[in-house]
Amino acid sequence: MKNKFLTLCLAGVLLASCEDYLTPQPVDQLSDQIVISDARGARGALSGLYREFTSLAAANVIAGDFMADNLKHNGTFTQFNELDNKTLSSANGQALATWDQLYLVVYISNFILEKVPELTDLTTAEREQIESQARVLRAYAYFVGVNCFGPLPYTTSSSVANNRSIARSPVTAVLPQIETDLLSALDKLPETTSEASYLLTNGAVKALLARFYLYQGDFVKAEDFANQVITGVGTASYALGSSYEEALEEEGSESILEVFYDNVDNPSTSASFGLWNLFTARREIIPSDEFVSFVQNFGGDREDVLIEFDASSVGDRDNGYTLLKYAENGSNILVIRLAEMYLIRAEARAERSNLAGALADLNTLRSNRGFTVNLTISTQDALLQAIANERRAEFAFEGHRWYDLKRTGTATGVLGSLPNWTTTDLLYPIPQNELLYNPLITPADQNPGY
Amino acid sequence: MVRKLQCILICFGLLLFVHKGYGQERTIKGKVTSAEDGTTIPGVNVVVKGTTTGTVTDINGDYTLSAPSSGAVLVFSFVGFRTQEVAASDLATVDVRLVSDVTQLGEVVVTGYGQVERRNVVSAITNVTSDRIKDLPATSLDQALQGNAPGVMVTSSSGQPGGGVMIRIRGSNSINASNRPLFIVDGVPVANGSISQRQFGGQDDNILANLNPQDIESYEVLKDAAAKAIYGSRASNGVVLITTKKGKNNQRTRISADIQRGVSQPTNKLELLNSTQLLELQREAVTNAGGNPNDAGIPGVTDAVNTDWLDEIFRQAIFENYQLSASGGTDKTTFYVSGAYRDEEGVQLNNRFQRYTGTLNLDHKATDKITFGTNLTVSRTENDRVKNDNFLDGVYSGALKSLPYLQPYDERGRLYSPTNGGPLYGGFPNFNPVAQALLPRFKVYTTKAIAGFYGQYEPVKNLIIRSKFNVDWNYVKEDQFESTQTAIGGFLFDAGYGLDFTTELSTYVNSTTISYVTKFGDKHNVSALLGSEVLQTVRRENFIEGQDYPNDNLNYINSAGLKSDGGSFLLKYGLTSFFGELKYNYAEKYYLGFTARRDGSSRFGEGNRYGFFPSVSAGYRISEEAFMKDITFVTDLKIRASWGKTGNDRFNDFEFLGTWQAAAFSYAGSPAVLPLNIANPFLKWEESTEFNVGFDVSVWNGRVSLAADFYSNKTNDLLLSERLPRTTGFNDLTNNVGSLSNKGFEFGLTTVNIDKALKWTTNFNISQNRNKVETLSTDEPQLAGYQTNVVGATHIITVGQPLGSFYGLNYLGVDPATGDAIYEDRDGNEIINADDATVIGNSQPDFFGGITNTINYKGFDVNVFFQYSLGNEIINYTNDGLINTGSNLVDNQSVAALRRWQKPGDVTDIPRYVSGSSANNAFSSFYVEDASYVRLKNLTIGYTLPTKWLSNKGVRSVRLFATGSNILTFTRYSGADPEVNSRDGSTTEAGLDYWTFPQVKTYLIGINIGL
Repeated sequence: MKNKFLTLCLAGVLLASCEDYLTPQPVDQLSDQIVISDARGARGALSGLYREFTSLAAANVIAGDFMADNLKHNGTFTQFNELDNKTLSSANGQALATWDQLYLVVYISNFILEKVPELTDLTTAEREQIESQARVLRAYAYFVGVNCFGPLPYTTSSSVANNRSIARSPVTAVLPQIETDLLSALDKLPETTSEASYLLTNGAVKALLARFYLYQGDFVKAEDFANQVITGVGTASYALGSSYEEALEEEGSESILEVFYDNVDNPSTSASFGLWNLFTARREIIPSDEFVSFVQNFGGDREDVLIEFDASSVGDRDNGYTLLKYAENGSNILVIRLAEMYLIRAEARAERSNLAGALADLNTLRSNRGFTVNLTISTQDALLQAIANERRAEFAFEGHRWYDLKRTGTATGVLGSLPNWTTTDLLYPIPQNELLYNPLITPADQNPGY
Repeated sequence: MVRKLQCILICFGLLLFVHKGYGQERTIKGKVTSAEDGTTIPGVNVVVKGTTTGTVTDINGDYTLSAPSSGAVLVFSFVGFRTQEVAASDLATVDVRLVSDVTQLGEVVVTGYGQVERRNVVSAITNVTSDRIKDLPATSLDQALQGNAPGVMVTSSSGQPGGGVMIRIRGSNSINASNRPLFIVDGVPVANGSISQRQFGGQDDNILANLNPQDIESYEVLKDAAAKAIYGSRASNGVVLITTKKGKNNQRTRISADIQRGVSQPTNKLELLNSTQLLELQREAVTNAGGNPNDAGIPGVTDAVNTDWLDEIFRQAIFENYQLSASGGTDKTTFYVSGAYRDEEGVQLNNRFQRYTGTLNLDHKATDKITFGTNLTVSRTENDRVKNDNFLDGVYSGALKSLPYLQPYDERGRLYSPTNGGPLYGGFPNFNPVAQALLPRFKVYTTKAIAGFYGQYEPVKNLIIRSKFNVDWNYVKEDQFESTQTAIGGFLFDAGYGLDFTTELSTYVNSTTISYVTKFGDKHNVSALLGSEVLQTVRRENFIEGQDYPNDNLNYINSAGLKSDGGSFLLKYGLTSFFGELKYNYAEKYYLGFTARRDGSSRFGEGNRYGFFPSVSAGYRISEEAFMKDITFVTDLKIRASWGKTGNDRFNDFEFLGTWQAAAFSYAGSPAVLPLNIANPFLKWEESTEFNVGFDVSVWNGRVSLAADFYSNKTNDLLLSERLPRTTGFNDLTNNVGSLSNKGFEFGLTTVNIDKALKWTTNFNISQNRNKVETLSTDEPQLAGYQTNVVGATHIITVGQPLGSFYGLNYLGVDPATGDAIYEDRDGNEIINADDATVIGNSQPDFFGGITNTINYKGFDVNVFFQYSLGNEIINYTNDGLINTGSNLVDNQSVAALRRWQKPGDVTDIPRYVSGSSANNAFSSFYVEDASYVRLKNLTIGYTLPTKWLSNKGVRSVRLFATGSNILTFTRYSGADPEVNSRDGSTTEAGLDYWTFPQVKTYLIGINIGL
């Protein structure tokens, strides 16, 4: 009796040393150590990466069109008011949302790239595919980043200790890293996927490279990659839509990379307001007066696909026009489509004085956009201008305009007449947060004008 | 067993009887009863003084003994009673009534894992016994402590039965972790706060309301480190040890029946405008805005309909409480068993709290060395909740806001609702509050069981090995349905809306201790204790949401056309500990004590998982010194000091882990995970370092006794979120940055003013606590509470200020020329904006406490208990709506609006009303009011029937009493009640009155019958 009781007590004492009670696992969270512990985990994280990429694509639309002259503010949100009036402050919510989203994509990419090499249940090809997607999306994020913010803190690590104290790298240092990431993925990804163009393909990598080189003025490589996509990447063949409406079809023949949304999960540029909400439901943002006039005078079949007029909504600031892209709750965002390859090749050819080739590409596109008469242009400048105009119309509300004006050096000429516009509006402000909490970014490191 | 005992006694008696024949002695017989209630006392020692002749009373309190033929003095002694000597002279029968010795009874104080004699306590422990709370109609056991224990601040968040209670011992020690004390019932750590999943506009329910305060024998509030550090990581907010009633050895079974019935009503009713007054105001507001009232759709001034919405939702509520208990014991077994039912209607329509409880405490001494026992409590509550405070379709809030020219019922007596929205229906945002009270079904069924089982083995005298297994099990079912007649079911959703939540929270604990008490020589008293404990808490949740019901009578989710949401969840927490205690005293004069505990918590990563929490205490009984012998009026004088460390790990689980969670949506058909939390392997305990000095003095034979304590506590390593640059991919990181301090004093004074046939005692206590934020993660002040007009938020956490500080503009009054509000332009830039905000008050009282006067005269007893809180401020944020200066015209207004500025030259404190303009109701000191109050918390008048009326009827005692609680409130606060908190349980957002339901006053009569 005595011994039994003592044993029981002793058992009680020993229980206390049991570590099991101290190491419960969360049921709805995965720790960093195990989230990517096998192939399935890696794919889950990769889907997460795409999810964040969708939001970055939305932020990119706002930056590319609203920082230029395509959009107008018609609502109440301060951040859009500032974008419209070109009076951004370092507290601007849209600049912050873009920055947040870009580094979220970078974090997940870096995390995947750190963990996936350790996995043993992946074939080499599978591992390369996952890594390549992470690298390309990281490259995309940094590319949006340098275009919006200029010099950027560049990191390939997921370490908080490292990333909380990190200086801005010059654009010239970031760009080669983007190029390296994109090139490393070349020919590693499948030509087509079971999920239409929602996942990266070899064609998408080439298309992104074409865009990257165009922005850098490397017209040889830009033309080369655009050409590769136009002629077809292996089993993947892309075809221009025969009308603008067809060109914009989700999962359409032009689509090279688009981000996936459905009506449960609407396009978001911030936590609660997505593009559909901003453009259609709330009409927080409407087409600018100047853009309306531009597209109405441009000809072809784009006007009715891009904008719609309703006299009843005309008001003080309201021009009555509603933007028709993302008109449904759940509309996808087209990140790259074949039309861009035609216009990249046209621009590269024109820059390289292959005016005939350039004009042919331009007219091929126009013939699918409701134009029945081919353009005839004989000078390089006029041709480049025609291509620029074509880009404005073709890619309206897809996040190109601001970048196009900047890379072609025409921003000051075009945007200079806007009220309050100064050359410092060529970059977003570095968000206030970063100045406060990153010791290596001081107010002196802020972009000029903010 | 009883029979055996009787046999022995009879035999013993026979022996005595036989013995008689041999000496010149006689037999004295008699009965020993309690002077208190007339019950017989078995087991009393009866000795003939100066001899070894003696006996003990039998089960009926009778004794027989032989004594010398004359001149004998009998000495009667029994634990808990004053020893009494009676000269037997030549009497043959000596009946004695023993008087209970309160000081002796109070001597044992329960401490962590043990107990100690009151006179040997050298730490800050407050003892509250059941007689202090027995007539209080408090719903929950934490409420019952209000005003009764120095250093313990208790605030009920609203007057809804079963609602949230904020309790703080020596202030708030944390910003993000819990500030609630640890509650331990008979060794079982029990859940406190709210464990249901739904809160309405800030108001929670309270799981402690599931326990019956009438089953409690005593509370011990452990306040300083020496008392509580043995609870280590859970102790920084203080510990409340609750001991439930037990049976006594050798006591005839006592049965007690209690019946209480009464009525409740609100302490106060706000005065609002009637139809005429409101319409005039609304027309004026539109005119001031440059509009035409007729065009704006404001009805002409009329009082054709004049609804007093508060009267429509208030009622005289019925209060009922019934309890039956029995306790008793033999020399080996004791028991206490009770069953109770409480039915407390809220004073709002359809608000009701019912509780069924059952308790069994059983202890059995199996052999001289082995004892075991159990404590078991099962309770079930049904709470019919109504929505309030910051809730769109709240009932009380709706009644305050609803326009008096609207009505609850149409001409056919049907409630106005979204589907019956006649011209007199408010609709958004003031849905018919009568319908909102009556129609939604929102029931919370809570089942709670506390079960403990212990075995104790004493191999040699005073060496005790004890092991106890405990379970605290809570099961909460929340059942909500909103029909199409309600705001949610008919306005927000088209065809009904239902929710069903289940929460199971269980804590399992095993604690094992080995203790030894010994004495070296004459004067060295030593006791030691070693122990270990394993605790695991498991929380399981699930819920389902339904919409699109075909019919309001098909109102469970089975019938919902769309099961729109659902989920399930499991969370485990573990704590493993070793602890020890060593106490020494020299002749009860010099004291030294040490405690230490090492806790391992699952809330921290490897490397920081274990925390060590030591304490040391010392005491010195000056009154034992030779030089004090002459100062005879000092009965006892002891000074004491303690130092120690305690911890707090009661914040979110898994914060130290870097984690990912499932994304709400997949990507192109593939499920996704997203980063959730950033890893911080360095995360560790919040740690408080506490210092306490105090003294206990008792003079004039205990007629006046005072316990005083002074303390200074500092909590370091506060778990705060530290902002990160987004280059990390995250917003913030939880880290140990920040500190705060609490300094204060407590006095508890007990005086026996008159001690004759009329006995009058006074208990007074006063406490002060100064809370201050010392450091934070950044220099940026952190805003908290509700968002406000212009300023940002109602509350601020900033260095140098206490938690619960208010943040806003300084209101300077109304410009007599324009009628506009004037706010202080602190930065002098002639723009009034958020930059002009400053700290404009705080919710922490300067002093708080209570005073109780108890008078006993013959059978009568009177208890008068005032509770007070001085210097605390409240944001009367209800006035943001009730004096809205025209920012909207959809809410009724306070009668204060009659003082509004109307024409140039008017000197007033209420700005002019301008429709649609928020310019005059920026968040400012206009809303901050002194909410000091003194409240007649309890007034009881009782009468105990003389025992002689009862003894031949088999009734031990009968007491009749009448009680009123919250009868009178003295305050300058203009809101409904100064004791409110719209953010239940929060310190950082305390002192907010936002449509908060006032406390209730209750009048009841009761009867207690003892058998």
